[in-house]
Amino acid sequence: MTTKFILTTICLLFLVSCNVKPKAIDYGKAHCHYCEMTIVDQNHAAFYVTKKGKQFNFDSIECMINALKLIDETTLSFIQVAHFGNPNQFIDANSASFLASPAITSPMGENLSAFITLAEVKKMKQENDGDIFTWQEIKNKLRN
Amino acid sequence: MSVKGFLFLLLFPLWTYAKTIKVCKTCKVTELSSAVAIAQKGDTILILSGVYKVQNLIIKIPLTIIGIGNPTIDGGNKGTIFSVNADNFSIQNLTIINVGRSYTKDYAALLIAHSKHFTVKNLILRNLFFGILIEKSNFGLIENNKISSVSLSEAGSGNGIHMWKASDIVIKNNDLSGLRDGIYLEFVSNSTISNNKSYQNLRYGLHFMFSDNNEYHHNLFKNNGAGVAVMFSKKIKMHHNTFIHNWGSASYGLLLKEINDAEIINNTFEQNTIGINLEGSSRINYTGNTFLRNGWALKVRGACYENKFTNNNFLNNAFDLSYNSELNDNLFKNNFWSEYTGYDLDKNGIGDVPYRPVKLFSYIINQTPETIVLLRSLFVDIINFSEKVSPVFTPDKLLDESPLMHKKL
Repeated sequence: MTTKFILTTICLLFLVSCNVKPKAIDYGKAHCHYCEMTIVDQNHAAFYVTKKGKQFNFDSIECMINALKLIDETTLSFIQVAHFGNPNQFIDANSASFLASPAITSPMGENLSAFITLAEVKKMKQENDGDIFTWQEIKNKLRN
Repeated sequence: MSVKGFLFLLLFPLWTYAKTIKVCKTCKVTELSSAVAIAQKGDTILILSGVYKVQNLIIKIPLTIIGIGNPTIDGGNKGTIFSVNADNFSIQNLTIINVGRSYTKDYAALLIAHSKHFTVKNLILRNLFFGILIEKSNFGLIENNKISSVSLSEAGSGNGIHMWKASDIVIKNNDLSGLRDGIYLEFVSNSTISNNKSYQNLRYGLHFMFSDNNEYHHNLFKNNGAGVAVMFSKKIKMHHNTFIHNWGSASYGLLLKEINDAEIINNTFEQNTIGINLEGSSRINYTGNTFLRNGWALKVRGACYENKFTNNNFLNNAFDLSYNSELNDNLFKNNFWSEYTGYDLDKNGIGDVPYRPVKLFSYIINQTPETIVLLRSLFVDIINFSEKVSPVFTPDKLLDESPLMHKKL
């Protein structure tokens, strides 16, 4: 009985340790994987996590897009961007809507911010002007 | 005509055209906002000592605002305090406190936008989000200000002096602490930053982004998250600065990324994890700098060409130089290396055998940072020595042909 219990516990421990999950970014200490800057802006941060569970943090969405040029996206399990105006909330990049507006400056000059719903991004566009992109569109734009 | 009479005539137009408005609790005008409302172009507003509540005061005409007896302007933690959109504006001798904080808006103690010829002098700014925010403005002087905040929480912090799309600005003798970046420049040109003290800031003491043709000298950067970051900029002159105590797993005194045609002269880098971290930076002259007791004096991370390192002092660094490529296109000449063990038989002050600043172990550390625990082991000494005798991994031409025997003063 005890051996069985110990075995199951060990198996469970293995399961737990193999779980690939995003970790919170340590703002003010973490460095952007692409541009080396310390990450402080909670409105524009981004990260991806590989299938093996290694997380790469970025200070801005544009930095992550530049880094994604160099790797195969199918090796990743998470690509997430900060939800603008909602600190510590990250959203899936694939389903997010992006606004490039000079009125909302981002750390690396492309002025990109991310939102969940289209209604939200349209409201921000009305207030701040700018252009709306999907994840695929903004990646294509910055890749050229 | 008497001198007095002459002076009277000379100053007479001033009395007739520019008037002075006094603000105090017992004056005719008791609030700063009403003084601004009645002021005409070119007037001077004198604020006598006391505490004044001010919220988003918009100034659209040339004015001079001067405090007498150190009055305090309290923003009550609600948004921007002064918002200036006027040429020939001047603000002096005030204490401004309690700027509002926001995740989405850049609130500042003093916002100057679309303005020319402004002076910001002798202000004390405390409990801030952003301190002085300058947008699309030119020809300004920012002098003798003390800007501080408590940026313990990362996101609730703003920059001390933040400039965006500005040119011809002089920033001198300011004291900046407890902020996100002490001074931040984005799309700024022809500006000079001198004699400032920037310390205990969360991120950088000074930060350049996309800013060409600027100069900074005689500044002190101490105990910041990292000292100075110069990124995506051309023709920056950096001289006589001190970078000290920037410790952290990937912290540095000076970060250079995509910097070309710069000059780094007579600076001191003391006790930083990395003295200078260079990436994609070319055609830079490094002369007369002192690297003292750093983890890495120089960390070269690829795409750095035609840099010249001459007459520098490398004193007691764990690593003088780390390289991650096998190619070298940079020149090292006439530097003093404290680890140099060569001799000088002809006594001309220049060592007779070249010095190889890259240790083999620094390559291993680049690959596997954890191996740092072996830094002082005998094994590492042996591989470093063998590499020194017959270089296999380190770039063959990466050496100082004529190292100095004595420290450059």
